[in-house]
Amino acid sequence: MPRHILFGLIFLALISLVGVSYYYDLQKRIHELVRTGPEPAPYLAIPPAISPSAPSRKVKLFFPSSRPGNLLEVEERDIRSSELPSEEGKQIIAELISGSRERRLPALPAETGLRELFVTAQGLAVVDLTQDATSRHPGGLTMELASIYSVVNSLTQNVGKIGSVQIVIEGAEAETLAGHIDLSHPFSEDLAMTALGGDAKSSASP
Amino acid sequence: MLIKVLGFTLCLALWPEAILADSGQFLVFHKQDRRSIPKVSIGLQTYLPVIPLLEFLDLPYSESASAGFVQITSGRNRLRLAKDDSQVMANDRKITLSAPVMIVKNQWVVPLDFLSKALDRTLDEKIAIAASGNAAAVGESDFIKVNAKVADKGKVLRLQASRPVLAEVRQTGSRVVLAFGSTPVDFTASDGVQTTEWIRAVALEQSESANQLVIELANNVATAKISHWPSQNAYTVEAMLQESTEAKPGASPETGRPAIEAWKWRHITVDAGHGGPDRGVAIKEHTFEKDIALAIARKLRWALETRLGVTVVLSRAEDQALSLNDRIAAANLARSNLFISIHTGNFGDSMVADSIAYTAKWLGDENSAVETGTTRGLFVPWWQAQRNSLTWSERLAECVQAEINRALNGGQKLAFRRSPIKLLSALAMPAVLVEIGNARVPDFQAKVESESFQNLVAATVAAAVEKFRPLHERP
Repeated sequence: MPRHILFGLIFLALISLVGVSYYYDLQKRIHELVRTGPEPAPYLAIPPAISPSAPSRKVKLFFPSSRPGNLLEVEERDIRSSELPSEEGKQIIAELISGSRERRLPALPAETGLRELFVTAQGLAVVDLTQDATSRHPGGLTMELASIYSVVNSLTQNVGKIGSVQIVIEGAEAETLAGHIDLSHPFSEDLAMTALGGDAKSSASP
Repeated sequence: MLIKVLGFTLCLALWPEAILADSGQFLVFHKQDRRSIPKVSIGLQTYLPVIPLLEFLDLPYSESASAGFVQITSGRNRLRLAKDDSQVMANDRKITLSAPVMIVKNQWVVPLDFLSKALDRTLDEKIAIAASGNAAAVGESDFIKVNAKVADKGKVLRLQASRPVLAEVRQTGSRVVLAFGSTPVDFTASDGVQTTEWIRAVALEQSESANQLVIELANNVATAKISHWPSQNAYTVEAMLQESTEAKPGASPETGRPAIEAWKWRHITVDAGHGGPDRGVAIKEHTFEKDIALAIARKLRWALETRLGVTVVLSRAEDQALSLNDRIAAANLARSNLFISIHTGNFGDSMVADSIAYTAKWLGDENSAVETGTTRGLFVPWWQAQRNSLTWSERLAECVQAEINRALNGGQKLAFRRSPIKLLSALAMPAVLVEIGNARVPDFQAKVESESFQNLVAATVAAAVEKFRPLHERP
C-alpha cells in the first residue's frame, strides 16, 4: 500500500475515534444535565409549640377591607400566650391564612403555608411563606399592598418584640409577591391605610 | 472553479438561511397603531415574516409547517398560502405573487407584493405601500405624500402634503420636528433642499416609537418660525439667519401666530404591566390584565404623541415577558423624561372600583426620601434612582389623580398613594403607576374591553401629563 494512503487511513481512523468518543462524552453530559434528582419531600407545616394550658389573649388581625375608604380593617381573635414571640407570630399568621370571619377579603391565599417564622434580637420577624402566597395571589397592586400590610401590621401590632417584618418565599428572598411591591427590604408598621388609626398601639400587648 | 460553483450551489440548496440577510425594518400602520417587522432578503427578493403581520392585524390564522400551509380567515374571506408556491388561493381564486412563499428560520415569509395583491382582498381593506418600500398602511388608499422644497429665494422651506395633515410641531435647538402621530406619511425632497445653506438635513424618522419629519437646521440660524397653512395642506419653516436677527422673533410676519414653543421633553416611556406568562389579574375568562394594560398603553402612546408631539415608547409593544429590571433599564438608558405604568386593579369582591395613581416610597425613611427629592446627590444607588425625581413624581401623581378622580372616580376626592413599588424605585425620571378600576366589579368587567373606556383612560392620563408638562419644564 502506498505510504500516503496509509497515513491518510490512519488519520481518518484517528478522526473517527475522536468523533465517536466526543459523541459519547456529549451524550453523557446531556444525560447528566437533564437527570432529575429525587422529588423534594412535600412541605409539612410544623404546628406551633404551645402548651395547651397557656392562657389565651385577644389579638387584632388586619384583613383587607371590602368597603370603600380603608385598605385594612381589624378583626379580633384569641391566641395562646407564649414567652416566644415567634410562637405567637406563627399563630397570628395561621389565623390570617384561615381567613376573615366577618366577610372581609382574604389576606393571603387559603392554600398558603407558613414554612417558618423567627424573630431576631433586633425585632425583625422573618416570615417564610410557601410558593402559594405568590402563585395563588389574585394579583393587583392594591391587593398586594393589602396582603403585605395585613401580615406586617398584624405582627407588629400584637407582638411587642416585633418591630419590622421581612417576607421571604420558600426560604429565599423574593422580588415581589404579585409583581409590584418590593419584598427585598423589611416592612415597618403602617397604620395610615387602616380603619384602626393611631390608638391601636395602646391596646396591643407589650 | 467548477468545484467552487458546485459547492456554492449545494450550499444554497441545503442551507437557504446561508444567504438570508436582515434588510431593515418594515413599518405597518393599522388603525392608531404601528408595528415594525424585520424584513429579510433572500437573494434579490425582499420578504416579510407573515405571522407577526397577521398577529398585529388581529387576523385569525391556522398554519402547519409540516403540512406546508397557512390559512388566513377574515369574515367570509379565506386566503391559503402553500409552502414554496408563488400562487396563493384567495376564495378559490389564484393570485400569483412575485416570488414563492417560503419557510426560513422556522418562519413563514412572503414577498412584499403579498400585501397589495392578496391580503387586501382578504381584509376587504385597501393597503397602501410607501414609495420607499419600507412601510405599508392598512385601511388607507395611499400614504400622505409630503414634499419638501425651498421657496422664496431659498428663505423658506415648504412642506407640501398631498392631503390635509395635522402635525405636532416642536423645536429643540437646531432641530425642528413635525410629529404625525399614527398618520402614515411618505416623504420626498425636491432638488435644492440639500444645497440650502441653512438646512443641514430633512429626513423622515419612522419606527414603532416615532413617525416624524426632522429638520436639522444649520448653526447660522438664529431662530426659525414654523407656520401651518391648513387651506394649502402645507407647513413652512422660515429661518432668520444670524446676520438678520433684527427681525423680532415671536410672531410670523405671514400669520401673526406665535412661534412654536421649544419644549425640553423628548421621550416618554409608557409601560404596560405584566406580559407573557405573567398574566396579571384575571379580569374575566380569557381576559387578563396584561392584555388590557397593553391596549390602554397603545392608546395612551397615541394620545401623548398627538397632544404633546413627544416620542413615546412602549416598554413592551406585544404580549411578551419582560422583567421589572429590563423595564427600568430601558427607560433609564433612553433617558426618558417621564414614565407611566398602566395596570388594572383587583380588590376581591368588594365594590371598591377606584382608580389610583401610585408613586414610589422608601420603607422606614419616607420623610428623608421626600426631603432628598430636591437634592442632587452625587451618587445614588441605582435601585433608589427615583429619589432625585420623587418630588416631581408626586406632582405628576397629583395631576393624574385629579384627572382620574374627575373622569373615572365619579368626582371623588381621592389622593394618590405612595408605595414601595419595585418598578418605580429605580427609575431616574418622574414616574407613576396608574391602577385602573377593580377587576371583580361587574360594571368594570363589562366596560374594560371597550374601545370607548380604554380611550377615556388614555385621554384622561394624557390630559394629566399635558397639565404636568409646563410645571416640570418651567418650574
